[in-house]
Parts: sequence; structure tokens; C-alpha cells
Amino acid sequence: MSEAAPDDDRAGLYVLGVLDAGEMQEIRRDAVQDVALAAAIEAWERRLTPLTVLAGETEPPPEIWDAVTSRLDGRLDGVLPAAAAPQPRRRPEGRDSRRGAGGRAVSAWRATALGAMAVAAGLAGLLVWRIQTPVQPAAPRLAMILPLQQTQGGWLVDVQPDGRITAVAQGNVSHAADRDFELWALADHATRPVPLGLLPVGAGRADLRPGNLPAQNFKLLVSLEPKGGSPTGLPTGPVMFGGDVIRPPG
Amino acid sequence: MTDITADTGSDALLQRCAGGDRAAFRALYDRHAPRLYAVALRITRQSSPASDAVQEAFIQVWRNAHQFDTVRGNAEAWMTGLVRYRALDLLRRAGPPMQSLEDTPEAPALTPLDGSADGRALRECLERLEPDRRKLVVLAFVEGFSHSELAARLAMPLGTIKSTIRRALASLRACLGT
Repeated sequence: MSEAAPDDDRAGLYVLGVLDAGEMQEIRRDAVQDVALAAAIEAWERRLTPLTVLAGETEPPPEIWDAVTSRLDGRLDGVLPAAAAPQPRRRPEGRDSRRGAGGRAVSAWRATALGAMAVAAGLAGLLVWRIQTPVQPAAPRLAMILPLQQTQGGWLVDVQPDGRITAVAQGNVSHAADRDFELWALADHATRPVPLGLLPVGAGRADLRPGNLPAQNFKLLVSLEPKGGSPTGLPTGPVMFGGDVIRPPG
Repeated sequence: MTDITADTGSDALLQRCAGGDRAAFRALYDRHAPRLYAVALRITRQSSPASDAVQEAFIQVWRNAHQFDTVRGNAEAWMTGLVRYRALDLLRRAGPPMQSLEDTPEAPALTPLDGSADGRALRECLERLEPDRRKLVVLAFVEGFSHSELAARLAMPLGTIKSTIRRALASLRACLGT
């Protein structure tokens, strides 16, 4: 067929659902790297989703919702950063399927960061974020402890409504002498993070006044950078840690 | 948060899920689960894998709501995808279909599509297709039939099924535009 681009052709067949399991898997894998393919999948999903009305509606068994909530509650109310959550057995398939399934066309940076966060789940140990989101200044502070596979340190991070950040190193987090850990905020739906400052190591503490915190919700990322921080204003080294902004339930 | 009403869009609910709003998550579930469960049931034809598909999809919705792009995304399409691909995976892994070939359903009438603007546009484009092409597209999407299953059920050569579906998709894309 010459009228459709190969990406569009594959995406259409994938969304229609006529491919076998191996072909579906392959497309999902490709869509993680291939932004055009992911966008084509998304477009086909938009085109064909109205067909779901032809299946009608069936009241789902209540066990479904019960199972969803108990699984989320079993994982600290589900607020673990998705990519950093310990999902030892399911992670590869899960990542593929949700990226391909959702067809999220992500920027290369974001894909890299999320990939690095997944790797970090295997490397990093204890991650501690203590965050007060500026969106809800009156909200109580929350402490989150995210024990991952090993304990290699992290930070207790306290974000004040006025944008000041206090970061206290935990668990003897360390890096090579010619490096620094840099903290970044990645706003929801943004593709580029903003630098917030350098993080302490050992049992150190740092008060950061970045003055550029996103107004909307954001997640925090930590990359390993040359001494003094990234020279480009964007992460240049691996993203080693990450955490979502935690909001109080209800 | 109590300001969720029937007018609160699904995209907005999803965005609130990204902020940890459990009430928005429940509202999203209540709004979409009956449709999504029916979609999964139609594909898997059994309640257990259909429940599994919906459960897994909503776990992904909560965990990945922050990846949802409200500018380009469509919450309904995204969630539908999560359920359908999971259901299709379960179906394909389960091996040969449990149903006999005689049970192959007729392609359903398209009138329910008129309930939404997108649906009406899709119906118009589907109705411009030749009937056999239209039937293949609808059966594939709704029933979850693979290329080879369609070939067996409709007693048509696999190559013919594949090329017919390709042509149908190309026509649909041209008709619907972006």
C-alpha cells in the first residue's frame, strides 16, 4: 500500500486489534522509541474509540473496584512514582504496554528521564520526599518513604508554599568527587525540567531558593552532573532519582 | 474535593488523578467502567479476563495519569486503549478461540454511533466503505478478531483479509482526516 505511511499503517492495524500477540508486542516496543509511531497510534485510538459504543454497557462486578483500591492502597496509596516503583517482574511489559497502549508521544528527553528512573529503581535505595505542593498551600505536609530494592540513600525534601526548598540527605548518599547531584522540577505535561539547585551528600542539608518552581503540579528528578551542575540548563547526566509531588488524600 | 459534577470532563478528572485526587479517580471509574467492562467482555467473552483487563487498566490510569497530555490526549481513547490491548493480550495468549466458527456474529448496526459528534463522523466514513470492508473493521475492533481469525471465520484467504483491512483503514483515515 502506498497511500499510508508505514507508521500509520502499523498503528492502524495495532489499534484495530487484528495483529497477533508477537506483532502487538513489537509495535509497543517500537512506540517507546518512535514518537511518530506513538502519535499515529494515538490518532487511530481517537478515530476508532467511538466504536466502543457498539459493545454497549455492562455493570462491572464490584470486585474490580475493590481490587483496584486494595492494590493501590497496598502501594502507599498509589503515589509511588510509576517508573521508580518496585515492580520487579512486571516492569518491562508494563512499561511497554502503557506507553504503546496509551500511545503517549513523549519528548526524547522525557522518555530518557523515565527510562533512567526505571533504571534508578534498581540502583537507588531509599527515597524520601517531603513535599508541600504550592498548588495547595494550606495542605498538610506529607512524608513519603519509598523503600526500593536496596538502601542507598536519598533526600528528605520539603517544598514550602513560597518556593523555598530544604533538602536533607539521607542514608549517606554519595557521588564521585568531580560530580554533583542536581535537583530538577518537571511540571506535569511539560517536556523540559527546570533546575532547582545542587543537593547535599552524606548527611548534609541544603536550603535552595530556586524561584522558578512550576505553578502547576510537578515531579522532582535528580540527575548526576559535572561539578557545579549542568552547564546547559538541562540534565546532561543520568537521572538517578525521582519522586512525585505528594498530595494529601481527600 | 467535592466539586465533581456530570459536567466535569474526563480529561479534567484524569488531570486531577495525576494530582492524587481519589474522588476524581472514583468518578472516572464510575463514568467509564461500564463501557470499558462491556468492551473487554466482548473481546474476551468471559468475565474473569474482562475483569482483569479493567482492573489492570485502572491501575495504569492512576499510576500514569501524570503522563497524560491534556493538550493532545483524549482520556476516553487512552483508557479504552489500556483496556482493549490488555483484553486482546489475554485473548491471544489464551490460545485458539473457545467459540465455534458458527458463532461469528454479524457486524452490529452503526446507529449507536450517532450519540456523539466523533461517532457520527466515524459512522459516515464507515458507511462510505464497501460493505465487506466495513464489516471487517467493525468485527475486528468490537469483537477482537485477529487477521487469521477473521480469515477462518469468514472463509476468506488470509491475504485477502489483510489487504482488505489495509485498504479500509486507508480509506477511513482519508475520510476522517486527523
